[in-house]
Amino acid sequence: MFRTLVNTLISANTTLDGKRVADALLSVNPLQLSRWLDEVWSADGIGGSEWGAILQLPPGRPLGDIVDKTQLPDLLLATFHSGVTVDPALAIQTWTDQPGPLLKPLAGGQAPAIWRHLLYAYLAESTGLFEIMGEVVRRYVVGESLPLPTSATMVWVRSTEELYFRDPPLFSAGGSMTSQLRPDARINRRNAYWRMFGLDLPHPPGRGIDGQPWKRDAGVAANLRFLEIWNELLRQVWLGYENDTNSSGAKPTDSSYIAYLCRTLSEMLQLRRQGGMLAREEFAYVTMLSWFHLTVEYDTSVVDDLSANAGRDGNPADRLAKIGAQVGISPSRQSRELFELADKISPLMWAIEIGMFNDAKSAELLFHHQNLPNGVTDIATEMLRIIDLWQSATGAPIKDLAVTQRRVQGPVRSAQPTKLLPPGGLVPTAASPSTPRQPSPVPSTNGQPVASRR
Amino acid sequence: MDDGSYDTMDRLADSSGNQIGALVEALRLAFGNGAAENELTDQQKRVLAQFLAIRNGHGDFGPGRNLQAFFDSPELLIPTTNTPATLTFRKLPGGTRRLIVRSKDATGKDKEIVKDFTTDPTLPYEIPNIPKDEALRGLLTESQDAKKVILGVAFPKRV
Repeated sequence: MFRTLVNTLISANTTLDGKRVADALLSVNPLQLSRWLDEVWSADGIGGSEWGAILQLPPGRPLGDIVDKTQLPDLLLATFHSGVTVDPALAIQTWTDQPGPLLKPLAGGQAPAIWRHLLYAYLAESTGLFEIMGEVVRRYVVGESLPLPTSATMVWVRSTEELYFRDPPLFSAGGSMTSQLRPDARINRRNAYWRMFGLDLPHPPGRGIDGQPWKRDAGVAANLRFLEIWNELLRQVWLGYENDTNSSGAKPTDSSYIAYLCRTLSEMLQLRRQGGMLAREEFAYVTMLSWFHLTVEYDTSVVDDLSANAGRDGNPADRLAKIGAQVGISPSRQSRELFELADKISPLMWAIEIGMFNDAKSAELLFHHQNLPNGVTDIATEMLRIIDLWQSATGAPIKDLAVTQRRVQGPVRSAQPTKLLPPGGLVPTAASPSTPRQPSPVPSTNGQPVASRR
Repeated sequence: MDDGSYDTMDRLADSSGNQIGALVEALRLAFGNGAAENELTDQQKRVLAQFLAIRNGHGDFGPGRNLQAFFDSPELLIPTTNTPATLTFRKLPGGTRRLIVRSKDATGKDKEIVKDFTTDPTLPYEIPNIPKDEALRGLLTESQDAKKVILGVAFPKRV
């Protein structure tokens, strides 16, 4: 969200450069920023009615009414502005306590900006961004093991600590989403990623966490098939892209299968959002990662002070690597791909989740790129880039279909449905009168492989 | 002189819901109706426009990354059954935006309308409300090209 605001300011005034705007935003008082996050939350993002009209969504998709029911009261929002918005002078406004109309953030009108999909937070955090920048904050507040900071950096340190490393203000939409019931933010984020995508972050959770407690609490309702279906979708899209021009011979493209995969992903993601579950977590985590991402997106004061400059068109991954070297943490080797992928994948995931590609004709747009007017290949071009980045970041051989293993090899399972065993194992049922009594009841296997007994 | 095209495009792209809605509809209509082989169906055009709108909602306004390239194609011109209008949108010193519409009137005579928009600093967030503008309305009635005007104002490099 912070990066969206900076992009908006830059695009509104081409004389402003990103570094200047980013530095201005990073130096805003954390109380204002926290307040601004509440304003953004109350605007409802893609769940807003304005987007519902544009995207022709059925009522309640995709976020339900959770935002309406958890936002601050209207009067409080309308009388106590954050002051962080796109103002007429194209600068960050000073704090104002004057009553006035509440502008929906970023739009300057009626349509709210869309906060990024949770997958953005997962991919951005996979770079090691949070751990590295967190260590920078820690070192600046407990000692002098880093280069001497300027006051701008210390303002950033203060804001970051206030916003993301302490208990959030009561009733706030952003922050670290911790409480007495879930005190560890690292576990909380992993829990959300696990439930929504069945994915773990590639790096260990850090000191003080034994095992994988985020899975223990998630229950059985994690989207464990997400990765399998997502990879299959990318393969099928690539297949379609590669064979788009075939006019004779075999054409393995199957747009109805692609639509089916999109529908499966859509239903899977929506299932985890029932009743507004994970909505607040998603908002908090994507805005937090956006804050850290913004810090390394330009040669900001923090980057300057840590001698991690990468130039005007430099890559955030290069800055992060230099900062990581200062604090003794190596970022992911795939940071470059992950940063770009995180940005590109968010609009696509929202589009998939709201069901834009659930029918074969619409799904064709994901790969169809030939014989169309110039400029109309936009989604296919975007998909191709996503496939490239995903393949490079994860090592999954999406394009190498000849050697692709479509399914994980494992024991062949019976088609008979399985059922979960209750705690303590199966409860023996009464023996049928026609069945001779067994010396010990043998539990039903329900299609599961039976261990041999000796 | 800066023709202000990118700036204007962005303002439309991230401005109000109504304007984005108008953009989506304009995009859909801009491709024309009906679909020959290898062309997009009406439904696909709408999905494409909606996807681009979502991306703009993410603040993805980078030059050439989305809608600008989308409209840099001659094929996307709306077939003009009547007199076409040529629009130029310029950013003047002091922040004034000037819209110049050149066309022919009903008798075939050249006609030019120059419309300066205020120097109000909030202008970047306002899209000229064309249908309510008397001068333009007259021209549009003659040219029957309202859709092109919408696109022309939003994407002046196109025209």
